[in-house]
Amino acid sequence: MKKALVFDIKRFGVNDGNGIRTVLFLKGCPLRCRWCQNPEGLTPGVNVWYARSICILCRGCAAACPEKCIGFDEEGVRIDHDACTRCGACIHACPTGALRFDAQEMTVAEAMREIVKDEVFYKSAGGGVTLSGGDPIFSPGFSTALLKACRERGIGTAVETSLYASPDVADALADACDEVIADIKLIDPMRHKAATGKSNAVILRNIRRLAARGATLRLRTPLIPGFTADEENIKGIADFIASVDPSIPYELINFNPMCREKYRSLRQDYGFDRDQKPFSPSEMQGFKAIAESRGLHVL
Amino acid sequence: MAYHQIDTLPQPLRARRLKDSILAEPRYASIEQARIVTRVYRDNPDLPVNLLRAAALQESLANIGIRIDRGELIVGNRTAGVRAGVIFPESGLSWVDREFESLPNRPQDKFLVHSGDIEEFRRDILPFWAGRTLEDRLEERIGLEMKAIGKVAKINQTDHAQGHICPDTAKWLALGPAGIADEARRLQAKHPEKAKFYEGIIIAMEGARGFMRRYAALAVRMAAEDGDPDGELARIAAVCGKFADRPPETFREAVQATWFLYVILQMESNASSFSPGRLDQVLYPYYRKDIDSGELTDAGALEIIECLFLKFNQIVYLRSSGSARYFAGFPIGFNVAVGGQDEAGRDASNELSYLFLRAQEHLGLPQPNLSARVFKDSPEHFLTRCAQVIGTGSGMPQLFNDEAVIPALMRQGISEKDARNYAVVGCVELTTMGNSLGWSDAAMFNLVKALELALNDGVCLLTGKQMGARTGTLADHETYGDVEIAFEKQIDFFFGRMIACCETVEKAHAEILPSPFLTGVVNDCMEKGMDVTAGGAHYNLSGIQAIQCANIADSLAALKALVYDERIVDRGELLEALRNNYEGNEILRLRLLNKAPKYANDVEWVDEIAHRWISRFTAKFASYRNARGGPYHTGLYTVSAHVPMGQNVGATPDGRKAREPLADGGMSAVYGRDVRGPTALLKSVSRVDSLLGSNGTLLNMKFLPSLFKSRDGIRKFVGLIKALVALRIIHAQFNVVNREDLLAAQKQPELYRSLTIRVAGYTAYFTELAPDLQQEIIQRTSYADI
Repeated sequence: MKKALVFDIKRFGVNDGNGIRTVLFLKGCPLRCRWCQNPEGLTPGVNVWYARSICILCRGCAAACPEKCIGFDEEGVRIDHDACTRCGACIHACPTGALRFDAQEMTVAEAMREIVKDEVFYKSAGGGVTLSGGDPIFSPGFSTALLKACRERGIGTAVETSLYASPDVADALADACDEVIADIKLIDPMRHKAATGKSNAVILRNIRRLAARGATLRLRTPLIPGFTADEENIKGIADFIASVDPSIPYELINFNPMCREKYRSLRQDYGFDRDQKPFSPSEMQGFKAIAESRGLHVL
Repeated sequence: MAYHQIDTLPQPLRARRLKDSILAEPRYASIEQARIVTRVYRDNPDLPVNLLRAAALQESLANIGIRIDRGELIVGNRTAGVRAGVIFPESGLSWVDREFESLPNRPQDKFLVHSGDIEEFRRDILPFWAGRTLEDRLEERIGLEMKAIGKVAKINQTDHAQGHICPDTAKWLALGPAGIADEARRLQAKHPEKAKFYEGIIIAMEGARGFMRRYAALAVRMAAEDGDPDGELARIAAVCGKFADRPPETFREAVQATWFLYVILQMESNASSFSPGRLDQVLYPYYRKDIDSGELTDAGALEIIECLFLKFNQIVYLRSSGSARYFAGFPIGFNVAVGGQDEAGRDASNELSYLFLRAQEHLGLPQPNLSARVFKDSPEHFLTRCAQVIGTGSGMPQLFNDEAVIPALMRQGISEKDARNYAVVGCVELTTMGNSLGWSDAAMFNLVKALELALNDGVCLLTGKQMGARTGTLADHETYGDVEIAFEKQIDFFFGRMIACCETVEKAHAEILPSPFLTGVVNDCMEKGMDVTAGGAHYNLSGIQAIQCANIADSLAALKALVYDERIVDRGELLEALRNNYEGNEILRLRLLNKAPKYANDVEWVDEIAHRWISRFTAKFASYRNARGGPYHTGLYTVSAHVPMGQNVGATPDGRKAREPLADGGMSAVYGRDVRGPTALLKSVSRVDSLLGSNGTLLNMKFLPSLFKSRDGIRKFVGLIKALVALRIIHAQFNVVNREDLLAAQKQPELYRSLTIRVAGYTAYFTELAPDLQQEIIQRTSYADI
């Protein structure tokens, strides 16, 4: 039985492919981007997740914990994840929902039960399911099986992936999808490695090969201040895409600092200043113009 | 088809200018008509009431101040000033007496007061009406009973004449007042025993003709005094003068004639909502003829339509402060429905449908309350235009789904032909066109209050008074089934008493407020020789609202899940907490709020609770008929009444504190609780069988504007509409607004005067809402990603 850790299911996804979609976020990713907006998708296994913003500090969790692994500090509840046995007593005791498991292990059948709930919307709006994460390519067996099950039922399929995988894994996933949405974060291999932990050579090779195999691709670049959002990088990416196939739709994704709260919950440092804002519409237009000047179809 | 060309027509300059001047003119309370009506009643003590009403209308039509503004193409109003709050004595004056001084400063729906009016009102008007008004007589007959049951069953239509009617505009256009008067004369000759009935109609119609002639004469006089370089006044004089004697022939004449109908209906009744209904169907022959002959262009038609739309904003409804809280933003509900299907089930949308949508896109005003009918065969382009206009953020058009509405109406005995021709009155109430008195807001039944009583032995949690049946407390209910039994007993305790009150109210209307003019334009009154208030219409329904799906489902689900199934909440502890409004037990409240599943999240068993209780409630109507011989049926909407109704309800087991608002709308989630997004919400709503909601349902949804900014976003929204059609959801309306807009509008209202927003069921100017309602709208869940 193929299983995966699903850390969120977002219905009425309107920015993750065609039509109205249900987006499943799967844990695990081959990359470690410094700006990752879903850092909870990177931790292994199932953990207790804590949302400071809705916690009322009633301390019911600590009283309920049989392992006595819950303490308090200025950031609210502090969980000793090494001592925690994931028994769920604290979650059960929490009256606000500030504590919850950060993911749920699901079989393909269980995931399908969630996906079919919005079937009427996929049919009327031409949407379907999108696997995201993390990166669904990190759970290739589950992802491919789930996508196939969707396709058998007539539900549209898409993935959002880094494409950092061996050719056969990437091909199998792409073959099960109506659309592959992949990032090119940085065109320079060294900068890519520095920012994500991996070189982009594998990714670019996969993109070129999938395009040649006739996969429907959509490419994206997240605009990250100090990392990806510079003229040279966008030019280089645009040149690369133009060399593969200029008709591949290309999308520039604005910086999203709303994930700051997640880093706080994880007690990790979010590497961006509090006053770092998303780019303005005119700045976005500027980046877009660069890509368009290379003859790309920019969304 | 020239639809695409219509979609890009620029806004007529005339409409923009008129809009600015209408919005700039202050609103006044007006006693002008009250003065005339009082004189007629005082001078004619022996006339039968229908003739008295007809004479009062005729005198008003002959003497009320009239005005034509430069630049108007469509003229006429019920007072000289625009948006006047008309004081209407026959229905009830006690609240005016109590509140006259506070009108300029009250929190909701302010009106200025002319100096001297208050003194004159107290001296010459108020004393005469003591004991004669609808309100006074009902107070005498059922005042105590209405008070006894009022927290659960609020009886409506006790202090104003009956509206929520869609008259037969097509007949009015085909015959005109002269033709209808002739018809009345013919019938009078045939039925001498009903001579007085027809006499009333003749007087009213003759009054209408005189009113039109006055406008013609005024236009002539203005032209003579100030000149008429472009001939506009001469044209107005010709159009108005002609309609006094003959039916309209051109599109402009038909639109002017239509507007006169609604002005005069308001002068006769001062009632909430007379709806033009499917104007794109009714006016189409006139439009077609003029376009074909080359006399009219689409740009010219749009100009006329926008002038009509502006007129719809010139009549507002003065309500008591209490009523203004229930129906904020003085809506008078000129509901216009476009699109949908024809009598054979084929797509009925036409050029006028698109012109109306374009006019709404340009003006973005609260009236008309524009409704779009959608069904499985609605053209893609029609849905796209609806989505685009919704995206402009005026909250309109609201959507009605033929696939749900038509079967629901047919279940109430309405013929397929009439059901397919349905329209909307007021906010969301369903009606047939031209042949129904739907009495759509007979009462509102607060099921949440009944549930409160079921958990506390019939004792009100807020006052400690014994109000309902003694059915034991939560601590006595051993099983979840016991709770349901007690709940049903509480409903039954009030149900029959409510129906008895409604019957008394309807009879009092027939006795005190017969409406001869209206009777002339609602079928089959003329043939039957019976006033519309007495049951002359072909269809005679009464609607009672079941309040409120979401709170009932959430409260019962919390009891079932946490108290009876999982047993993690103790019955006695919860009862104690409810009695103390959760004081000192916030943890328990949060647990109930956050740990029990909620309606509107696509959790089947929770949604089924809502369905089951609406179904049980509706079934109880089967053994009753209303005073006019028609059926009662259920509505699932509150408009803004969820706020005051919530103030009557103590703490509830879903974690809601005492006096907090109920869920808004009717089918909507409790604010902020629909956390799974709009698709889950729609799935949940669809589980409450739409066949039950034949009086009308209301679902509010709110989207951020980003969704509408791209063609792809519009396509997705169209997809959402199609899903709503497939799910057989009767109604939905959409707010498109961002938070910053609203916060800014709160701070600088003068810069946002024309910002409109949906307050559950209709649109109002945001800046004209009370601060607490504003706050609430800001707090509503917003969908779509940033």
